[in-house]
This record gives sequence, C-alpha cells and structure tokens, in this order.
Amino acid sequence: MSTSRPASVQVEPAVALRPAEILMKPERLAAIQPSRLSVSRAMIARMTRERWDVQCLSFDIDERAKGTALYRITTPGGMFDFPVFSFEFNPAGRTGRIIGRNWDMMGALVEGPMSAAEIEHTQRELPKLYAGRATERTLVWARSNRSSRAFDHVVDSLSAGQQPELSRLSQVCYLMRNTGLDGNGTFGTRSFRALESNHALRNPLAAQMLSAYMMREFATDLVTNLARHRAGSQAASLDPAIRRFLGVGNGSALGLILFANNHPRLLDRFLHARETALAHAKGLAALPGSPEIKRLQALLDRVIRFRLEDRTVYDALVPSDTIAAELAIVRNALNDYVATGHIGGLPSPVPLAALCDHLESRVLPETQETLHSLLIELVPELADSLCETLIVSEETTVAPGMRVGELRQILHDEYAWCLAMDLSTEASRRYIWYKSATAEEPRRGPREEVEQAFNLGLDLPRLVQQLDIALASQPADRTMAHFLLGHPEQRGIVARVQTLRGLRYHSPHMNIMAEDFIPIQMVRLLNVGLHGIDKTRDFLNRNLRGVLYHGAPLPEDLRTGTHGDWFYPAEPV
Amino acid sequence: MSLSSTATAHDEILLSVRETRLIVERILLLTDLPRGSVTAVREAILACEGQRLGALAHLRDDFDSIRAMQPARVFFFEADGKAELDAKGEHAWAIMPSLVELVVEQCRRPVAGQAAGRGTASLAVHDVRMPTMLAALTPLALRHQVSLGITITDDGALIRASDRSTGTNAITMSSHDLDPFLSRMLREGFRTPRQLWSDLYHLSNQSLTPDSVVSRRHAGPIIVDENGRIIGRTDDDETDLSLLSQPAA
Repeated sequence: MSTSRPASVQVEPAVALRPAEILMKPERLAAIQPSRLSVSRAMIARMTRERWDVQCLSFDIDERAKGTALYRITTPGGMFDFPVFSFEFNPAGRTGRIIGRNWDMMGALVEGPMSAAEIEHTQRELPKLYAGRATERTLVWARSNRSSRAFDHVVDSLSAGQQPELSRLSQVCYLMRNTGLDGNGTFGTRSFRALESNHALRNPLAAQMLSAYMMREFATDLVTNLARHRAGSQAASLDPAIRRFLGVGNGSALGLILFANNHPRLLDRFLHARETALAHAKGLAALPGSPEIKRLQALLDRVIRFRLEDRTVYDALVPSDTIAAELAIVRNALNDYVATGHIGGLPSPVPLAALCDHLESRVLPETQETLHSLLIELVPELADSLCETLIVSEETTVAPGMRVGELRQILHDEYAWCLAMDLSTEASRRYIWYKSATAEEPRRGPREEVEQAFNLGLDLPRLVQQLDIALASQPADRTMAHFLLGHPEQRGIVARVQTLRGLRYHSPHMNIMAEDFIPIQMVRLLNVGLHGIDKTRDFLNRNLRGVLYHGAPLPEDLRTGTHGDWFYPAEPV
Repeated sequence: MSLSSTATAHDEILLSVRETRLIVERILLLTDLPRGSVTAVREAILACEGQRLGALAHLRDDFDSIRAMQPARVFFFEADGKAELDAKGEHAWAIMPSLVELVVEQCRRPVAGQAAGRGTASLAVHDVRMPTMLAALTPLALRHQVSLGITITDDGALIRASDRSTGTNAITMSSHDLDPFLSRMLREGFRTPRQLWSDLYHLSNQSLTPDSVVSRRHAGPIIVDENGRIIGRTDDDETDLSLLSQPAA
C-alpha cells in the first residue's frame, strides 16, 4: 500500500518529528496555533504572491441593506465571480447555528465570468439552501450575519463623519461572521477533486477560504455604503488600517469532529507537513545574532504585543495575558542565547530545538505551540512548498490479500492506544453523534435522550477492539477476502486500517463517544491550527468563535504584492 | 424541508458524487445491512448508477424489498481451482464488495516457486437478486487494477478476472490518485430526474433525527434549559432564543 509523499516532504530534517503518542493527544492537538501552513494564511500568501485582483463590479444596495453586489477575482488559475445578495436586518430566526432561518448576506463563489442567467439562477436558488440547486460552475454557497455590536457602531461612526472606536471594535474584530460555507458537491456545486490541475482553488479548503475573504470585503463595503446612504458626502470612509485589522468572524462546532473522522489523510498530511516544517526549523544551526534569531525575536515581540492588546474575554481558554507573560519567558531565553550562546545554560548544535526542549516543562502547551508556529516562519520556502502537498484522496479500499496475522500486527503496532482503552463502562459509550432533521445540524447528546438516532460518530477504539477480537478467532493465514465474507460488519474498519497503514497522524487518540471527551479540543485543532483562526472563544466545550483574516491584506495590497507579513496585527493607532 | 414542488417528471438535475453518496448511505442506514459494509455497498450502488444500470430508481422503487440485506448468509465454495458463491437470494449490491475482494485475492494468490501471483481468476455466482447489477463489478475491480469479463446469467454471473498490476497484494494507487471511473463520476456527476432525487432525498431524511427542544440542546453555544435558564455564551447578541426554546415550526 503506498504511503508516498511528495519529494519536498521526504527531505529528512535534523530533528525528529514528534511521535504520535505525544502529538495526537487531544489536549496537545487543541493547543496548536495558526501558522504559515494554516489554510487561510496559505491562501493570503498565494493571493499576495500571485497578485490576485479583487474588484467590485457593481454595488446596488439600498439604505436598508437590501440589494445585490458583484465582485470579480482574477487569478493566474482562473477568474471567479462572487455575487452577493444582501438582506435587511431581521432579528427573527437568527442564530449562528446552521438551524438559522435568516441571514444578512448570501453569496456564491462561481467560476466566472457569470452570465446574467447564472446570477439570476443563483439569486433564486441560494435562499432555498437545501431545496436549491447551484449552477454547474458554482464552487461555494456562503452566508453570513452581522455582528450587531460592531456593525452598528461602525455605521453610526462613519455616518457621523468619524472613525469607529477601536476599543469597541477590538472586542469583536469583525463586522460579519461566516455562518455557512457549502461546496464540494453540496447543493450541486463542483466536486473539488474534479478541479483541473491548474485550478487556482484546487487546494483543500481554498474555495471556502476565498469565499470567507470575500465576506470580509463585502462587510466593509456594506458599512461604508450604509453610512453614505445615511449621511451622504458627510460620511467618512473606513480607514484602511482599520479595514485591515478587521477580519471575518467564524463560528464552528461539532461538525468539525465528523470532518476529522472523514478526512484522516488530510489530517495526517497537514500535521505531517507542520511537524516537518517545525523539525527543519528546530534543526537550523542558528547562531546568536543570525538573521534567523533576529527574525524570531521580532516575531516574538509582535505576538507578545498582539496578546497584550487582545481585548477578547476568554471564558474557558487560556487568556492572552497569560500567554503574553509566558512568551516573555521565551523571549528572555532567546535573549540569553544571544548574550551567552547557551540555551538554559548549555551549548547546543541545534539551539532552537534546545530552546523548545528547555521550555517544554516551563510554559503552557499554547505557548509552546505559538513558538512552534513562529519557528516555522524561519523556513518559509519549505513551509510554502508543504502547503502544496495537502491534496489527498480520502477513499478507502480493502486490500483483499492481506492475511489475518498481518492485520493484527498492524493493530497492535499502530492502534495500541485503542486496544488499551477501557471500553467496558457506560461512561465510555455515554454519547451519540447524530444529525437533526432540521438543517442536518451535527449534534452530540446522551444516548437516552435521542434513542432513535443513528450514530454517525467514528467509534474508533471500539471498532478496533472488536476487529481485534474477531481476528483473534481466525487462522493467521486467512486472507481478508475470506474473513470479510463471513464478517461483513468489519469491512469498514478493515479498509480504514489498511488504507491508513504507516501514516502516523491520521487519528487523534481519543474516544469521542465517551463521557469525558471534550469536543472543543478537536474544534480548536481544525479551526485554529488548520484554518488559522485567531482570538477563539469556547462555549460549552463545543462551540468556538473567532476571527479569520485578522490583519490580512486588502485587495489594494494584494495588487501590489505587499503586506506579506500581516498576521498578529497591532491595533491601528 | 422540501425540494422543488414545481418539478416535472422530465426535469433533470446533475447530482454530485458527494450528495449521491450522502443520500445512498443514509438510506442504507435504514436497511439490515451491517454498518461496517454500508460504505462498500454505497460504492457498489454508485458504480451501478455510473454504469447507467438504473440503481437510484431501483433503490427508490424497490426499497422495501432491498431492506433485508444480510451478506453474511452467502456460501462460498472453492476446490480444484473452481470458485463458486451461492448468494442465497441476496441482492447483488450486498455481495458485490465480497465478489471483488474474492477475485482480486484469487488473482494475486501466491504460486509456489513464482514471484508473481496467479494473475487470473474466475468465480461463478448463483442465486443473486438483480444479477444485472453485477455488470458494475468491472469499475469496482479496476480500483484494484484488475480487469473483469462478466457474463450475466439468469440468477448470477460468471466472472473472469485478470490482474493488470505488478502482481502484489498491495493497493497500488497512491494517496492522491483516484481511479479513472471515480474521476469520471466526479467530473460528470449523475444526470437524475428531479423527482427521483426528491424522493430519495426524503427517504434518506428518515435516518436523520427528528428535531425537539431537548435535541436542540445537543449543539450550539447556548442552552435554554427546561426552566428557561440560559446557559453558555453570556454576550450573545445574535440568537433568536425562540429557536431554542420552542418546538420546530
């Protein structure tokens, strides 16, 4: 079975990648921070590098926010249109959950240029959502809502000819929040795996990320437009520095756990890419005073300031001032290295690896992972090349000639963590994962409260244990073809284990059915680590809110190819 | 939730592989099929639809008789180089995953003193419901780089297989490759009568869980408990709480 990786990933770093037994623990995965490999950052890097052109072609929206707009994105890999359908604010039926019935805007990302008939079709079908059908060149259907606090304040301020108060804006950091990005075949949109090899949005989640960027762009255009409707020429335009500071909001929840279940190869590839870049960075023989150390110092200063300025109220996650204080410890350790050539009092041929080891027991995982993300910035070319390796197939297939003995050996080598779990208790199977008939919302509840539900969660440890038991009663030389003939219930788990053989980061070491499983840990991994969302807040251990594209370049910046170093933005002065 | 009520019988839409997989998988959850085989049988049904064998229409029209799929009931016999499978009346879809696995395994079975496996295989299958669907074994076997010649009989098929790979037991596709048949389905989708899609969509929704006030507490940043107390996000300015505290409309 091939587990080949692209050549750029196969270069052996000087420092070993972290073992799965450490990295795949949910609490460690939850601490992973945005990095150059996060898909939103990779998207901005590409847009900047290739100087994508984002233009607003029309904006016909009235003083009550009703109307349409059309944006066009021109890239070396194709032209895309983003028509927006804007609606009057209506508090009834609103929620950040997908069971919502009202949105402030809906949009579509479509391979362009769109004909008038395609726009008219999209305008008619998009509001129907599950009952609607996208045109054949549609990539994503998107919808978002205002953050009332920030949005109204900005419109009021601009209408009064003033800039909004940063102290109020920076509590939210966005004007509109994504409440749904549907693509990859949903509602008849194009299958991403069928996109042409030179397609600009072929990388995983690229189309969704571009749609989110366009939501952000529309939101700032909308507040400016509404202020002009209200105050005419007296209205102020939103300061570009504030526009850059504002991102687009995002709320995510339980659906991401199902996504992780269904995308083990993507998860493995992403984590492997991140760990590879990190290992290469840790292996740099960076001398005191070298450009790498100076760069790291500057990055640390930037993130410390970012954390100190953070006005987000964190109910459950580590507050920013704690992380800022710990990053100061990291900075001091680096200063000591510059002054003495030693890390923690000792010399090292790989000082950055030594720095990480030195801090491991001294700072929180979130701080360690922040440092790791900064270290990845020291190997930018490698990191950018690794971003291009994330296209994978998630198809699984049984290898019918594999024998029982060999499969059991794989289980005991690669799934020892599953086999060691105590699954005999009620607590180990307390919860069930299901989707509601309304809006197909992913939910997780105690089994007795939804007795009629079909479980949709991957009960991986139990499946592995059951497979091991079933295999134990078979002759070791029996092939899978013959074993599955009598045990068709094992086909799915056999295919999964065989297909993922040899990959180390595909499945977090957790039991998602158990009482003590904390869903937000996986939501954080995907939202923060993979998507690149900042300032995330956790609610009820299952919902995460945060901001995407916080500080990202504006269309005018992209056209000039500037503002490449935009993350962890300082508050505008 | 409903699909377009103005659709005519001749109105066709283009279904993606993803949404076709989704509804077929949800419908299979309503059958007796072991959960571990749902994905493989789903792929068999898609292959049949991709071969224009009318699988989706059959799934809708004969669903009640399809429900009782129990693939473990089959009997396999192999002796003197002759392999036969008595399907004992099982539906073709239920046994197609095993048929592919058996012929692939037979093709690649080691031969004493030779580096390569046998290279060819044959398998006769009897007492199958809807044997015409077995024609779609060809694209399923191609995922293993095995070509098939299939003769459909009154109650089954005679399958002859030939290994096109290097003769190892390995799955030879790399992690980023797709087999040509799946690639074509991804590119072209399935042209389907809108009414058929609507019917299957509604059937598949039976595997979703009915909404309730209790169920709505199983997701989201806010819970409204039985006493009307709000638990969770304290500064939420965007949720119409009636969505959480009243039965769905």
